[in-house]
Amino acid sequence: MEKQKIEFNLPANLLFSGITRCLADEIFSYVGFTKEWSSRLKLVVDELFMNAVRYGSTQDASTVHIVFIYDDKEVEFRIDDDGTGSQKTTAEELKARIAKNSNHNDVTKTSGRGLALITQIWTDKFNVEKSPYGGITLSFVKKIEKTPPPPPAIIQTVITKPPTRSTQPAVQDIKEPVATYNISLEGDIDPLSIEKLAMPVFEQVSAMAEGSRLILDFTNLQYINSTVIGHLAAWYKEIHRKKCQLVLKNTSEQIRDVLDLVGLKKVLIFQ
Amino acid sequence: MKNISQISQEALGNDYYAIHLIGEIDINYLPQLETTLKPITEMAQLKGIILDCKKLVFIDSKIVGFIVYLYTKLSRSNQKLIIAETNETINDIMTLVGLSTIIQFTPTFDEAVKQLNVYVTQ
Repeated sequence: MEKQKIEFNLPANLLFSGITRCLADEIFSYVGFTKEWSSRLKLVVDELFMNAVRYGSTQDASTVHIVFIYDDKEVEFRIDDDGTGSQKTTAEELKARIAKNSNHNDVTKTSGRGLALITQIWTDKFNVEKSPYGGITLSFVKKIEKTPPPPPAIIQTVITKPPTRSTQPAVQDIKEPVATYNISLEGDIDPLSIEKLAMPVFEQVSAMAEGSRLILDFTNLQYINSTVIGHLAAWYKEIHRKKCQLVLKNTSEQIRDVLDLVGLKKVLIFQ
Repeated sequence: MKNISQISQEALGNDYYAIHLIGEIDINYLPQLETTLKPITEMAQLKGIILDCKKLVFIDSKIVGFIVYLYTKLSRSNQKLIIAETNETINDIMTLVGLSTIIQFTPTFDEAVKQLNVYVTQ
């Protein structure tokens, strides 16, 4: 297939997000993406459209410029705004913000993270640059995927109990633990690397003898996300079953707030 | 292009509510979603809400954000939120952002009703 280009302009109005998604879905399906990949990329397009209209344009006065370029190997999407929106920002500033948001994968903080997370995980190349129309150009390239994507790299631990009704008391009465283990939690907590962070803890929890104590040091982890919460709940459950003790050391106030919200603060011991 | 997206509410007994989300619920529907849920979440007797996603085909990050807000608000009052019957696409984004680790999901609406132990007067 020769490279094809579809180029059009739309008034900067979120009412046109449905049309943009619909066209994106048609193109992605036509070039050969699986239904799953088309759905994902449609969401990426939607996020970029929303970003350009809400932050880079003046509603109904501005125009956003949209381009799809595709052949039988890959598809490219570009969207330009005129930079007249509420958030005056340069391409470099936006790049920095996206990088920051993608590192702070916090489920309770959604603003901007959709853009940060899905564009980087679901596309092959994501770019932010100065637009010839005055604002910013957001673009991505994706090699055509003809097989469904693997499931997201997140362990689906569901906390099924009401968050504030945790009833199992922490094992407080270990005066002299059989053994004490210390693990410092360090590294990124994004979906792609969290398993690396969690694996040593999993291994230690599995190997612990009854009556021992595990201290998790949060000095180098200032925030957590839902995946970490899920892991903590699973570790606590296993440790409690073994009559061991789980101690969280040097947790930030933000982390304690989140653990309080989901009900884990009541059953964990803090140092 | 005809938009068949819709948000509706249904009382389940006196203390529980279901919110039925149909079609493509994006940022344009956020005000309607907020308006629908505000009086429900302000009810003193409220015990839980089911988000029925059986006919939901698309949500964007703003709606995901609102669901997180709703979960946080309900949790603080010891009220439950269950998300029922999401399709693969919705499940994909919910899982990616980590919602499936903190919010309870059920495969069917009936299962959500059962989980909440709702007694609906016929």
